Amino acid sequence: MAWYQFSWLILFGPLFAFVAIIFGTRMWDLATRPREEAEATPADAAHAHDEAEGETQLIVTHGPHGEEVVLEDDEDPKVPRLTMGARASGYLGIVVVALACIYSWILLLNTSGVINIAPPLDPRGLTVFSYDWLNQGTASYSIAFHIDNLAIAMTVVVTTVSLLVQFYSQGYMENSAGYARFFSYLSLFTFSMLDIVFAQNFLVIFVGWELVGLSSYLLIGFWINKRAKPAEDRPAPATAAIQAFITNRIGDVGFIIGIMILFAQTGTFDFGTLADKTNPHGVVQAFVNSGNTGLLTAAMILVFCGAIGKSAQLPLTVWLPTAMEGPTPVSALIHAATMVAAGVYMVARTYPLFAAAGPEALGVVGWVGGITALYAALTALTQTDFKRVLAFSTISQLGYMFVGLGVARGTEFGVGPGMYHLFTHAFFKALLFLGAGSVIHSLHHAMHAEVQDMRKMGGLAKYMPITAITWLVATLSISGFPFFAGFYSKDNIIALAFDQQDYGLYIITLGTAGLTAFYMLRAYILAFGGKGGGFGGLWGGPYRGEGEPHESPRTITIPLVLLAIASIIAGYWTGFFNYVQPINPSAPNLNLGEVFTNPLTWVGVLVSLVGLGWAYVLYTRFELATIHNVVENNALLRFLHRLTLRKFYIDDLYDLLIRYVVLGISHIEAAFDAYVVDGIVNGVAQAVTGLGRSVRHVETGKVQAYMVGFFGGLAVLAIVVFALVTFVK
Amino acid sequence: MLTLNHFLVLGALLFCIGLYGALAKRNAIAVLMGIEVMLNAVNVTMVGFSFFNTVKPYSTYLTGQIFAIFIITVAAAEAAVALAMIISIYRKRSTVDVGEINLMKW
Amino acid sequence: MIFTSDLTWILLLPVLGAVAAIAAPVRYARWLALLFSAATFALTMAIFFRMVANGNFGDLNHPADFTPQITWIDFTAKNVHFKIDYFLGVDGLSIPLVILNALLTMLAIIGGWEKVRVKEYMALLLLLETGVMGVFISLDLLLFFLFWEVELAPMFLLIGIWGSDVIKHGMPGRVYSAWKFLLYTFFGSIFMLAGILLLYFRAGGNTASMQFFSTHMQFLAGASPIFGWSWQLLIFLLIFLAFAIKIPMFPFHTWLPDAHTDAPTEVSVILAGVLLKMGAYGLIRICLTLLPGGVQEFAPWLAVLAAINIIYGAGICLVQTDMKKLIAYSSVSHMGVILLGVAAAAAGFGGMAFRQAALTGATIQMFSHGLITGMLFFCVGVIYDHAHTREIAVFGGVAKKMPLLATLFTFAGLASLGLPGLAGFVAEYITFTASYQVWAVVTVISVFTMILTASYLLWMLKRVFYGPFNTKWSWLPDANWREAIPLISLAVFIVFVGIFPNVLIQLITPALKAILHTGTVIIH
Repeated sequence: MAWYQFSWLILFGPLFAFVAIIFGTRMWDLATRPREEAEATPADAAHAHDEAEGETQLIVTHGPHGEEVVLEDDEDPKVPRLTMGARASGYLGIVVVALACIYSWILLLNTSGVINIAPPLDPRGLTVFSYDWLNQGTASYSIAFHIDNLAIAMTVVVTTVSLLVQFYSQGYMENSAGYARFFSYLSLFTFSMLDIVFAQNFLVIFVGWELVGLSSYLLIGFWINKRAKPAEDRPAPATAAIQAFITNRIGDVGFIIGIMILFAQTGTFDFGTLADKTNPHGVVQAFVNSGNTGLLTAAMILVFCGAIGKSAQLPLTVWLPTAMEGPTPVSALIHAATMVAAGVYMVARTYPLFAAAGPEALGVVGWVGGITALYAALTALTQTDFKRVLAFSTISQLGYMFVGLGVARGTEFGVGPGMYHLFTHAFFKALLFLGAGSVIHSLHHAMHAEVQDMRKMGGLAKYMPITAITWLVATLSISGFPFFAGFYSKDNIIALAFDQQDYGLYIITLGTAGLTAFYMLRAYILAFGGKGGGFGGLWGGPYRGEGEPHESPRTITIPLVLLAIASIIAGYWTGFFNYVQPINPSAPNLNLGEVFTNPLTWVGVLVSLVGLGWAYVLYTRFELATIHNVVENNALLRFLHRLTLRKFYIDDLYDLLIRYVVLGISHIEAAFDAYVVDGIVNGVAQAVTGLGRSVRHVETGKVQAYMVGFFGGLAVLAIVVFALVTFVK
Repeated sequence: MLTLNHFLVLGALLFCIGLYGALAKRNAIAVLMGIEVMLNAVNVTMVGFSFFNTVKPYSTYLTGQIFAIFIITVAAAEAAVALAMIISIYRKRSTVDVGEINLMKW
Repeated sequence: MIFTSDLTWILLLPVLGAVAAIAAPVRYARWLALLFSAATFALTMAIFFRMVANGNFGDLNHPADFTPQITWIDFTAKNVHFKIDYFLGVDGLSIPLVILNALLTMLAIIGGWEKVRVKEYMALLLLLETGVMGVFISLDLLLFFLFWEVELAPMFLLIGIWGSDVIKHGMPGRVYSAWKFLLYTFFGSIFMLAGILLLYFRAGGNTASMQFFSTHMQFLAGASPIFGWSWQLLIFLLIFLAFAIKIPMFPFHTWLPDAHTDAPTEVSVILAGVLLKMGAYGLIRICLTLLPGGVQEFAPWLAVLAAINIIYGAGICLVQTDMKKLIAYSSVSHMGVILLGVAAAAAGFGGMAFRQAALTGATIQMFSHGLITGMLFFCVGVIYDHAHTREIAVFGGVAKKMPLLATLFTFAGLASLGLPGLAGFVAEYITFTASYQVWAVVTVISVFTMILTASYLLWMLKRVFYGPFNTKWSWLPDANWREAIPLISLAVFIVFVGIFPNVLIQLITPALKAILHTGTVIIH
C-alpha cells in the first residue's frame, strides 16, 4: 500500500521543482549573469544584438494617435553562455521528473502484473492526499487526489513525455536567456497536468484544468517580445497565448456550469460518489431515479464543453494552431501529447456519469469528435507551416479519441478505445513535434532565422538522417500503417464505430484516416524528401532553403529515438482495455489475431494506403511549383485550396465576432455608463447647482431690496395671522 | 380726550413714513433717518400701551417706557455705527447711494 | 477600563500615529507612521492568533474579543430617549477585514514613502485607518454610523489634495472626484441614518446595540406587527442604499472609476481594498443579520443586480484605455460576486448548506478582492510613478525593461481572473457553485464573467508588457525594493489564501452560521 500511498510524491515533485527553480536556481542564474549588457545604453545594446544575432530588428509603425512608434523585436533573446544557475535549473527539473517517471513506471508495471512488489490496487482507486476546504454536511468542497489504473496509465504518459521533452529542451533552448524560466514553466505544467490526472473530484480537476491553461499561456508566450509575422499569417506569441487562454475559458464556462448542475443536485464533486449507483449523492439516485435524466444529459454535455475547449474541438479549434508560436518542445509536450489530451482524460474519468446520462451525451461527444477529425484533416491538407500541419493533425487525432469514447456508449467497451489512442498518440505525436523542432533548430543554425515553412525545406533526410527516420516512423504510425502503434489504436476506433452501427461516424473516421495518411506523408516528403531523392523520392532531394543544415545534437536525437521505439511498441500492450477499467473486467481486450482476421481492419489499411500512395505519387513525382500552378489555374481547386488554407474562415469569423460584436457591445456599455448612468449623477449635480445659481440672483446686495423682502414678508405674515385669528375661530 | 388709539394711529403713521423713507430714499443718510423714524414709531406705540394699561399689577411696571429708553440708547449707538459705515463707504466709493452699494451681492 | 481593551488601542494607535507624524520633523514622520501602522497590524494579528489559540472565533452575540458596553451619549427629553454606547467587538466576520485594513494601510505607508507633503499624507492615511477600523468593530449601530462618516473626511482630503490634475468637467479631476465621492457617500448616509433611527425608535429606543436587535428581533417580529416584513424591507432599503453606493452596486457605481483615476496610488489601494468592503460588510453584518426578512424580500432583485454588476462591469473593462479605470471597473465586477453570494444566502429557499457556502464564498471574496485589487493598484502605481502615464496604448513590451514588475503584475492579474491556487479562485468558485443551487439562471449568466475577466486583464497585460518592445521606453527602470515590498507581501497572502483557505473559512464559519440561523428563526 505504501507504494501507492506515497504516489503524491509524483504529483508534488514537479511543484517543488517549480518553486525551487523560481526562487532558487533562477535567482542564482540572474544574480550571476554577466552585467555588461544591462549597463550598456539601450541603443548600444540593440546594436550589439544586431551584430551578435542578426535578429533584432526595428519596425516603425503608427500608434493609436498617429505618432510614430518604434518597436524592437526580440525573436529569441540569447545569452553568450549559460550560467551555473541556469544549468542547475534544467538539471533540477529533469531529475525530479525522471524520479517521478521511474516511480510511475514502477506503479504501472506493478498494477499491470509485470512485477509484483505491492499488492494490487483497489479497483476503485486510493485517495493519496486530501484536505477539506469547506464541509457543510450536504455541500462539501475538498481537495483530494487519488490514483487508480486510469490515472497511473496517464501518469506514465505525462511523466515520460515530460522527461523526454525536458531532456530535449536542453539542446533546443541552448543559450536562451530564459533557460531557467523555461524549465520552471515546464515543471509547473507537469504539476498541473498531474493535478488533473490525480484529481478525485471536479474541484481539483477544475483547478488542474485552469493551471494547465496557465502553463500553456506562459509557455506559448515564452518569447515575450517576439513580433507577429503577418506575411506568414503568424501572430505574436503574446497574442497567441491570450487566444489560447481565453478560448479555453469559453469552454471552461460550460464546464463549470455543468459542474454546478451536478453539484446543486448532489452536493458533492467527488467522482466516486457521483458514480456510485447506491449513494444518494450519486447521479443515478439524484437524477436518473428522479426523472431528471435530461438535466443530467445537459450537465454532461456542458462538462464536455470543457473538453471541447481544452482539446481544441469544433468550434473552439482556433487556439491550437496559433499556439504553435510557442517553443517547439512546448508544442510537443502541451499541445500534442498531454494537455490537449486532458479533455479526453476528463471524459474518460467521468465516463460513468456520461454513461448514466441519456444517449445524447455520448452522441454529442462522438459527433463533435468525428466532425472535428474530418475538419482538421481537411485543413491540414494545404497548410505549409510545418508545425501547423502537426497542430491540425493533433486536433484531428483528438477527434478520433472522442469518437472512441462516444461510440463505446456505456460500460461494455468503456474508455478503453479512446484512452488507448490517447496513449499511443502521445508518443508518436510528441515524436513528430520533437522531430519538427529538430528540423527548425537545424535550419535556424543554417539560415539564422526561424524557418517553419515547408516550402523552404526539402531533402533534409540526407542532412539529418536520425530525425528523418524517426519522423518517418511516426508518420507511418499516425497514418495507421500496419504493425505500428497508431494502426492498432486508430483502427480499433474505426472498427468500433462500425460495430456499434454508427455508420455515419464510421464513414467519417475512415475517410479521415485516408486524409491523415495523405497529409502526413506530404509533410514528410516536403521536408525530408522530394523529386529525385533516394528510395523513389523518400530519402533526400532538392533542398529549397539556404545554408547547410546539420543533424541536431544528441540531447535532441536521443529522445527522438526513444519515442520512435515507443511509437511502435505501445501498440502491443494488448491488456490496455482491461487495465484502464478494472471495475469492468469483462471489457473486451485487444486481440491481435482477431485484428488481422477482421476484414474491417483491411478496409482501414486500404484507405490509409490509398492516402499514402496518393501523397507519394503527387509529391515525389512533381515539383512543388508545378502543383502550385495547377491549383492556381483551376477555379475549383483554387477555391478549395483557399478554403482549407484559411481554415474554413472560422478564425476570420471569430475575429469579426470579437471585433464588432463583443467590443461593440462593450463600447455601447461604456458609453451608456458615461452618458446615462453617470450622466444622471452629473445631471442631478448640475440641476442642484443650476437651481442655486438661478436662485442666488435674489441676493442683489441692495439693502433696500432686503428691507422690502423683510417688511413685505412681515406684512404677509401679519395678514395671515389676522385672518386666522379672525376667521378660524 | 387722548386715547390709546391716538397713540397707535400716530405710531402707525410714523412707522409708515419711516418705512417709506427707508425703502424709497436712495441717500443712505435718508434711509438711516427713515429707520430712526420707525424706531421712534415703535417707541410711541410702546409708551402708549404702557400708559393705558389698566391691568394690575402690570399697570404699575412702566415696562414700555423703560423699553423706549433702551431703544433710544440703542438707536443712538446704531446711528453712530451706521454713520461711521456710511462715511467709510463714501471714502471708498465716493457715493452714499444705497442703490449702488451692493458689496454683498450673490 | 476602556483602555485595557486591545480594540480601543486598534482605534487609538493610528490616531496617535497621525499626531506623531504631524508633530515630528519630516525625516522621522515616515518612520513614525510606519511604526504606528505596524504596531496596529501587530495588534490585529495578536488578536487573530489569540482567537486561533482559544479556538473561539465567535459570532455577533458572542464576539471573540470585545470592550465593555459603556454609555457614551445618554440624552432624555420627555419620552425620547437617545443613547449611544461605546461598544466594540470582533468576531470571525470582522477580523479578516480588520487585518486587511491594518495590512493595507501599512503597505500604503510604504508605498507613499516619497510623496510631497508627506507628513500630512501619512497622518491622513492613519486617520482613515481609524475610521475604517471603527466601522468594522463597532457593535452599536449609531457608533457604526459615526465611524462610517469619520472615514469620509480623510478620504476626501487625500483625493482632493494629492489627486491628479487632469481636467474633468471643468475642474481638476481631484476636486471633481473628491466631491463626487463625498457627496455620493453622504447621499447614501442620510438614508442610512434615517433607517437606523427608524429601527432604533421603532424598537423602543433604549439601545442601538446590534446584539440587541439580532436577539430581540424575533420577539419583536412575533409580538408586534411594526416589525413585519414590510417594515423590515423599508428599513433595509434605507440602510442598504448607503451600502449599495459604497459597494458599489449598479447603478450607483459611477463615483468609483472617477475616484480611482484621480486618487493617488495608495489611496486607490485603500479605497478598493477596504472602503468597498465596508459596504459589503455592512450588508452582511447589519442587513442580513438584523433585517433578514427585508433582505429576503429583496433577494431576487439583489441577485439580478449582482449579475448586472458582474457582467456589466466586466464588459466595460474591455474597452478601457486607462489601466486604473480598468481595474476600477473590474472592482465593480468582482464586488458583484459578493452581492450574488449574499443574495443566495438571503433567499428563502434552497439548501441551507449551499446558502451558507455561498455566504462563505462572498466573505472570502471580500478578503481576497482586497488583497488582489490592492496589489493591482500598487502595480499600476509603480508604472505610473516611472512613466507618468497609465494609458495602455502607449506601452508595449515593457516587460523587457521591467521584468520584476511584469511578473508581479501578471501574477496579480492572474489572481484577479480567478486562477486556482490564488485567493480569487476560492471565493468565486465557492460562491458560484453554491449560488447556482439558489439562483440558477442568474448564476449561469454571471459565470460568463470568467471569459470577460480573463480577456480584459490578459489583453491589458499583453498591450502593456508583452509583444514587440516599444523603444520609447528603453529608459524605464524596474520596480525598486521599496516598491516591491508591498507587492510581494500581498502576493504571499494571496497564495496562502488560495492554497489553504481553511484558516479563513474556519474563522468566518461560526459567525456566518449564527447569521443564517438568526435569519431562519425570524423568518419561520
